[in-house]
Amino acid sequence: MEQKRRRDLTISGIMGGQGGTYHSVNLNGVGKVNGHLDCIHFHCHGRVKIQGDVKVEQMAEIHGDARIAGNLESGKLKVHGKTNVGGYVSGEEIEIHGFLKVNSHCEAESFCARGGFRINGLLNAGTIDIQLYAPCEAKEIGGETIRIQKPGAVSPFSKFIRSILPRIDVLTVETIEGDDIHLEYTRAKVVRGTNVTIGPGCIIDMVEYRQHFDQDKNAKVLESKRV
Amino acid sequence: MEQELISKKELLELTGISYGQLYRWKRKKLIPEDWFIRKSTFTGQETFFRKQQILDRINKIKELKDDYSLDELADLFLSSNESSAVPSPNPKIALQKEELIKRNIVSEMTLNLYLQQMGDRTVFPYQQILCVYLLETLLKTGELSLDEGKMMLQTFEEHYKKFEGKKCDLIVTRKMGVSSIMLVSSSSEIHFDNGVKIVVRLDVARCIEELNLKLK
Repeated sequence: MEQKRRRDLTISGIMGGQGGTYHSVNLNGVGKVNGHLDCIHFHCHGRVKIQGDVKVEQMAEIHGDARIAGNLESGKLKVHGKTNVGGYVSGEEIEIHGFLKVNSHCEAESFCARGGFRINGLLNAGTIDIQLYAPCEAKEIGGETIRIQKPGAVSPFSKFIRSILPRIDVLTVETIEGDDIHLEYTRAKVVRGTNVTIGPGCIIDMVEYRQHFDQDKNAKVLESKRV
Repeated sequence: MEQELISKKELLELTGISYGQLYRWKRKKLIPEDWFIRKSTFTGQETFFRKQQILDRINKIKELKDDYSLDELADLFLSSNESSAVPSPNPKIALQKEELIKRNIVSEMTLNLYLQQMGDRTVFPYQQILCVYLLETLLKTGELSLDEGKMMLQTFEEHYKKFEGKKCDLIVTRKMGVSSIMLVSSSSEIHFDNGVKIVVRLDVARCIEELNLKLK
């Protein structure tokens, strides 16, 4: 019943809109929304500014450039373009194919990154799966399964591109804490976990593990100890 | 009063939980954000907790997590988090009799009833203001008769002190035309036999909030 009363908000071209409670929100072109948005579906293409919080019950998909001044809460979140969130981000599933910048913390059951991100607070998720296609940065990372990998070059062309560009696709973070941790190309001060595997390209100051520790020969670990 | 702090590492060792569990509970809001105290140490930033507070909470979670889902637990803790913050009565405030009426806190009729029952006085300290305010609320809704109001005044004056720092509810029941008044702590459940009708259950803490707003 509640859902039937919700209406849709569609913005196309250059327009402004008001916040409020909607069923689905479609933003195309250049738009600006004043106030908080509360909706079931959220689609955003183009360049959009939202001066408030965004709360999405089911699915938020962002293509293009979105700036959200407040917090972003969503069931599922897919970021294809560039998204800038002034507050925190929380959701069930977060997928990043573009770039996500979060000023505060970021929480999800599953966090999957195929692009870049910058989180100025804690990234807290059950499963964290990061493929490093772009530089990634977080203050802290915590979760159950944390897997950070560098994708292998598939085609000769991408191999060529990679050989020219300097290798900047690394994850920079202060502390990583979790149960099963697998890292590649990561720079961290402290890594704490039950099972820790440090792969190639890592520079870690300190590893604390409980059960199992593995280190690749191309990784640099200054200190490791079992606790 | 500074409580003893415990670092995250020590906490995990002591309780035998893993980082994953701790983060999951935090995500599910079983452990409130502001319990995490960040301090810089020589190894960089470390997180600390108030020892007693966090140990109690984790033991409780470990005890209950097999019987309840994490979301249910979160609701449970959320309500208990709130109840720990009782709206504070403001003991410094005392008002003149005339001011109570002028500031529209109580009506003249209620005030007269109070004075009749508890003896004449000119200055009302906070607790008495609260007492008249409750009486006013109950009489205004028509749920209480004047005689019941007198009974309520006595009960409240006599027993409210015992709930010092805790939330309590005021319950009025009737059975066969006989009414009784009781004060119970907010979290408790009570059940009566079929003949009993609960006339009203008043959240005293909320009344304190309302009253504080009016007094401002």
